[in-house]
Amino acid sequence: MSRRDRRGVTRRTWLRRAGQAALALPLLQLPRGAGAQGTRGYPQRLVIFYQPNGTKKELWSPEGPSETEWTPGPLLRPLTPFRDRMVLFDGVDMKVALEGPGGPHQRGMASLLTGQIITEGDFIGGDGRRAGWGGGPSIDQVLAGELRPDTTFGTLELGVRCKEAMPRGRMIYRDREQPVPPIDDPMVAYDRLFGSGMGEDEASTARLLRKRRSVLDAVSADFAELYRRVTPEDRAKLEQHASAVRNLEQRLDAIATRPECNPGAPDPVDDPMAEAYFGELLRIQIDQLVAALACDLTRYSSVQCSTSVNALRFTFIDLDRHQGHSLSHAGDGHAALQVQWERMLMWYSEQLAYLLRRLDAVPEGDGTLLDNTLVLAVNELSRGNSHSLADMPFILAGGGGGLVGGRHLTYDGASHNDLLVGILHLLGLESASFGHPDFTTGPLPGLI
Amino acid sequence: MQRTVHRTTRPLLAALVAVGVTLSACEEGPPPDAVPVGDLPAERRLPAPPPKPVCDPDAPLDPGLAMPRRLTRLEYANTVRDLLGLEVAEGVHFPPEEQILGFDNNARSLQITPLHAEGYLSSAEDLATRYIEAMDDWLPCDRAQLRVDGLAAQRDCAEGVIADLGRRAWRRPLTEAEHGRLLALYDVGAELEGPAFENGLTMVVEALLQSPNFLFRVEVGAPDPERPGLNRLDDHELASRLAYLVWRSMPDAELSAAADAGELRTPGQIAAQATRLMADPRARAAWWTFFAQWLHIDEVEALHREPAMYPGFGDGARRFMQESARAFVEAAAWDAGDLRQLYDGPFRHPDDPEHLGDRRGVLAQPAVLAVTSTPVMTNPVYRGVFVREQILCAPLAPPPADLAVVAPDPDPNLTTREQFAEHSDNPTCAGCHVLIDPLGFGFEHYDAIGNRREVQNGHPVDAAGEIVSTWDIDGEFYDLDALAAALARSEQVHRCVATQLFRYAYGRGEGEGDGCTLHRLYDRYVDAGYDFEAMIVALVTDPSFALRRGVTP
Repeated sequence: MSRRDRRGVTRRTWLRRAGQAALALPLLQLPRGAGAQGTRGYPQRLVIFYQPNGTKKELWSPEGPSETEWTPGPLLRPLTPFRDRMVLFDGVDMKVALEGPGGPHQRGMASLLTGQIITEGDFIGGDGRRAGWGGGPSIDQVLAGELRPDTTFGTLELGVRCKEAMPRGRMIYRDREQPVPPIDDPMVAYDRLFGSGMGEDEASTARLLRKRRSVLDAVSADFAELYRRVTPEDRAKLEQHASAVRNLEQRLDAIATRPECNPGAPDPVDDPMAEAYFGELLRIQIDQLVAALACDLTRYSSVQCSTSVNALRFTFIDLDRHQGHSLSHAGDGHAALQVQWERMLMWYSEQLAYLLRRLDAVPEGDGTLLDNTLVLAVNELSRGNSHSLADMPFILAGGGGGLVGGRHLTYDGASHNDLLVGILHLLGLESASFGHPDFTTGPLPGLI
Repeated sequence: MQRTVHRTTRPLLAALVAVGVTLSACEEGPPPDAVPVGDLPAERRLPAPPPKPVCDPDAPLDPGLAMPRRLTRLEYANTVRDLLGLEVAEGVHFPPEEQILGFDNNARSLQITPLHAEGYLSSAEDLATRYIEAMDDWLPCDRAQLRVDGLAAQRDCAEGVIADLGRRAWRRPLTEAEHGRLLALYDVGAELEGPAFENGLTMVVEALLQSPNFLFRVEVGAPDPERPGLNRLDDHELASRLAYLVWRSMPDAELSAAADAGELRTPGQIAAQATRLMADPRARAAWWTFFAQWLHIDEVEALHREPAMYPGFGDGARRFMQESARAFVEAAAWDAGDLRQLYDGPFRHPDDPEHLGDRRGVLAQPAVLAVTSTPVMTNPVYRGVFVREQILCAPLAPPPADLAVVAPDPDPNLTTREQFAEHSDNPTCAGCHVLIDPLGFGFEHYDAIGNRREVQNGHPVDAAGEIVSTWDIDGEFYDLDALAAALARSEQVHRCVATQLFRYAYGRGEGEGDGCTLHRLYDRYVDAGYDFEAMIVALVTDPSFALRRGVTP
């Protein structure tokens, strides 16, 4: 992987870049494995878009007389151009997140995409017990693991300011208690996704591949010997490693023969944690994610706007004194803070709209990348100032899996696990259930 | 500048009495008493230390699990340095460790994702290439002669490299099967196009560095005949445990030789090795990671301050904070040999005495003051929580799930302390914040980058506060020096040091079975005059250090 000198490049050059039109999108190659994708011809992708700390559902929910006749609530106005390609949900609860140790942000994050109860661990929780991590794999990982597309990366996890390496900061899980940290440095993401290929020509690439296979075969043999000596708990830890090595072996070809599909490197950034540049960094990450999908480097992806709670202040939209998390705790009677909270929520809707626009700007056949992508917008809470986990503000958008948009679906306390089951079905995994068995009965009725 | 504290703290307590809030709901664990704090006589407001567990020497030990621990990014870099004499390339990216209980080396969080595996692959290839290129510096055979002698001689030499480099990389002698696998890999490489010997060894090095035997410390041991149900680590596992604790790197030749010779069995032998390792410069660098993580000084690196409030804050200021904190902590931990100095020892910056002036204790270090502030102002809540969680090991529960309060919108022209008054005026907040804010107010003489101030927004700073709900130091104090002095003499504080060290050393949270180990650490530390190094030696010579729960694969 390339070694780029980060020093000596000023923030100004980075921002100049960010301020312009986003990264140029690559020319599309023909989709790999087309035909294996059913009648649609193009790969069907998933993008999970996360924003933290709840919303205000009363300003979010659609207004209108029926499932198809509605206009988005005020907080979703930036998404109006995509109204006919979205499904909004009312009455879907995160019931499974009411169980287990820890505070609501922790439980919300751990259950959000896994449908499992948070495990017990070493983190201080809200009820005297100690919180652990998610209790199973998240849907993106399950899709990659079950459908095994022939892509360079099974899944892709990007984010901005995801530095809280703790349960309230992690929503993607490879498996039980195996959180996957998002890459929140755009340069690191670029190097991984589009960094220079391995061999200089075909012969040297072939030689490199042979060498890597032999080395990884030898490494794999080491596990068998270790397994014989250790306890089952210890073995699980080593199996993670073995599985990562196997996963790498399967992708060696794809890694060594990187497609000629490259959006161009973003300029280096000195500090991907700077709060003033949160918005710019998020757009760069969205652009890279869209490029990775367009190049079919991966099909199951997520972009995480920081972590739950977090200390981010929205100076970049002139909410200059309060942290976003504090705003989300504003009391219902506090008009001045409510206005600021709403502006922050509106800003997040604009970012989601940006993601949809970028996906829609990539032509694929007669349509666009958005037509072949399912975007799931999530939040670990329903409402910040009550820490509610009921009536979650979930959104599905795009045409991936043949989603029929323009609908407002209402339920009376459905379990969010079943929404996740529905997403699996849309993307071609006909699973009868997902996550904890007590909270799942099958695909959410009316979705498909 | 002595002022009376009653003016400010009494109304706070009065408010609490008036609303009858309880303290117990905020602390972790079962509530000791559901009586409003204000109704209790002062002497009963001091929770007693938990009863000492029965720890007679013959009581059965419960040393806990020893989950395999992946090398952290730091340990990987240190090990590569000591093993190959090479630095990890700048462009190699490993994801940051998830921190559990504040430390980056907790076994539960140390996992390997596909992103890690990619990093290990590219790093191993880069290191192997450079190591083999520099072969003339380390090869035990004559390379020119090898070319003349041919493939068989080269293979013989490679066998020697496999045995020697293998045992150092995997920190134990290789089994015959392992040796055979690596030799077979050498043969594959030797048949590739290009120089056989170099290609073969390159692949051997790549495999060594990507193996679980290199990337993990697996501690299995064998059943201890004297302690049914427990395993005793083998000599090489113990040597690694010791080296990664003290150096965060692999054992050196002398420690490995002691393991080979079975000379890591008695407490005296282990103590002698530990003391030797502690004297090496690598030890200070490694232990700094303990202090930097425990005291959150590692957060300085990513610290931001709003330019409008703190113009010119940047790399220079961050470096100054880190260097100052390190100089102070190391003076207390190592040079003074008395860790009470960490809390209230005097400090003048050696190179820049004017900058900070005279101040006492680590809490007055700009690094600590800054990481417990926001980008624009100090935050007494962060600072109070820091004292409770990191210094007192008395963590607070997060706000209750059903908390629905009108968040305050205080006047920014007031002092910070006045802006936080809502926490004590509002009964919903006060129940928990009485444990936090009055501690945090004690820091108010220092701003969000740690500069001293006597006046804020035209008002004199009031840094008086109160310590509430501790084992042994409850009471009012008038400024940070007084708070520091109280902390330095608190048993709860010093037992907390033992707890933090335990978490770092064992890579896991303390469990019920660890009570006696913690007591022994504390006792040895106090007996030695609060000498931190004595606590480390007590840790590594404790019977639990070489043991783990039994293994039934």
